[in-house]
Amino acid sequence: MDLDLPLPQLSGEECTPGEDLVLRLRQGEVSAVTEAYDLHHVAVRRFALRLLGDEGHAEDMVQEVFLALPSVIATFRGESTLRTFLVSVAVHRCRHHVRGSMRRRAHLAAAEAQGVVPIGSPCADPEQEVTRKQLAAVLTQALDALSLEHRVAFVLCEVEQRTSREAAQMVGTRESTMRTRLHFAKKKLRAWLGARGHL
Amino acid sequence: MTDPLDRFSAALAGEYDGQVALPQVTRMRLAEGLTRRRTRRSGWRLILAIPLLTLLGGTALAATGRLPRSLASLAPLMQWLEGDGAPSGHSPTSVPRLARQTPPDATPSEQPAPAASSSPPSAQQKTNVRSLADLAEIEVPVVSHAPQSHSVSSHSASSHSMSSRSRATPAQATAARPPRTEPGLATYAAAQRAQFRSADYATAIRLYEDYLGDAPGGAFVAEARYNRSLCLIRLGRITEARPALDAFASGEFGDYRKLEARHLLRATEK
Repeated sequence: MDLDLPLPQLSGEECTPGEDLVLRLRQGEVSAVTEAYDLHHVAVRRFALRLLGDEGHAEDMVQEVFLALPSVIATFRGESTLRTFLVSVAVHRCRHHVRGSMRRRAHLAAAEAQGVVPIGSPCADPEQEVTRKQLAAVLTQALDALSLEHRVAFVLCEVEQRTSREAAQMVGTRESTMRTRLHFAKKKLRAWLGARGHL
Repeated sequence: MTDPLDRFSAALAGEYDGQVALPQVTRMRLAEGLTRRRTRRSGWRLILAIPLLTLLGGTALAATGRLPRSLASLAPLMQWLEGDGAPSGHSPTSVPRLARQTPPDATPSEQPAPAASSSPPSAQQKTNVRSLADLAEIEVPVVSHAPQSHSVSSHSASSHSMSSRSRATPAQATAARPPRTEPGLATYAAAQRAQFRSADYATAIRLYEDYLGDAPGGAFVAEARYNRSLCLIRLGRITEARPALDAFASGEFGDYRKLEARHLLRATEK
């Protein structure tokens, strides 16, 4: 799958974005981009963080998505929300961020193994939160073992709780393909987690 | 049966809810990036636009047979750039043509606005006319097309013009020059003399109108109409000049004198 393909047409959910904002985005108004950022940065950042598991790369990705907005807005025809459209832009621009975040994690793991970096700083969080953080970190590591297509499928469908149809539209593929990817993604993740005693 | 992966997915979803990062910092970076990109893009546009416009302009001028004349009109500018001496007090683009066409005793800054031949304008109008006249004086058109027997042929003017013309190849100049038998050329040349040498704007207007009547499809129709509007401004007949300038400002003659006409129209509104 080439994730750098032109963005697909999306079909509706939630509410349609303000026509005025879209119009201003098409005219390349800087204020419109920052307005779109204010409205939708949380959704884009959430997806970026869940996909990448790295705040630094996630921020870069968010910035890239909104920087690209004036040029990609021409492909937006109002059949979905602007928020969904922005997440699909993120999907299509995530490849090098995923690689970057994977490399960073690998370096950190190597440093931890050598005792250069402490495994976890002592924190005052409740036990539940610690557990959650550990599970999230493990899953992020497990996601690194997946191909980009499988990773995107898992994050969109399982973590973001989107339907396979919607995820397929965002990625620009068929729903059946998305389901297949999700199936294999879960299979590989179970195998990875099982092999390391997490299941 | 619960999928054991679900708790991992839920943990990941809970861990990253999109609120933990620094949205304001990213917002600032975004605004900065957009501004930088816009600046870079406009810079590239400018870089690309200059050769493109030169090419298009050259093609258009060549197609209309005005290329040699335009090249000739650039000669003084080139001389100035080469360091032959900068004309004083004016931009290099406007002065060479002025020097060639304006008589020594009628420089734009010194020449008073002539009295109207018909009704004299009011005091306020005169002030406006004076400033407009100054403005209009800058927009002197090229007259090198006029036949030699009738052209602005004072030695001071023609010597400059001849040196400019010598830059274009003779073949180009001959090809671009309109046939000397074109009707109304003598009238046009006389109108230019009246406007630029004698500062007799009323006569110039009459002669330009004669030329436009004699040669409605002539080579200098646009120039004649524009010059006529300048003469009208000089005489304070703003209301008559405005429709003529409107035609140029609206692009009826393409880009020819479009900006200048808009500028003059704006000035006449004040």
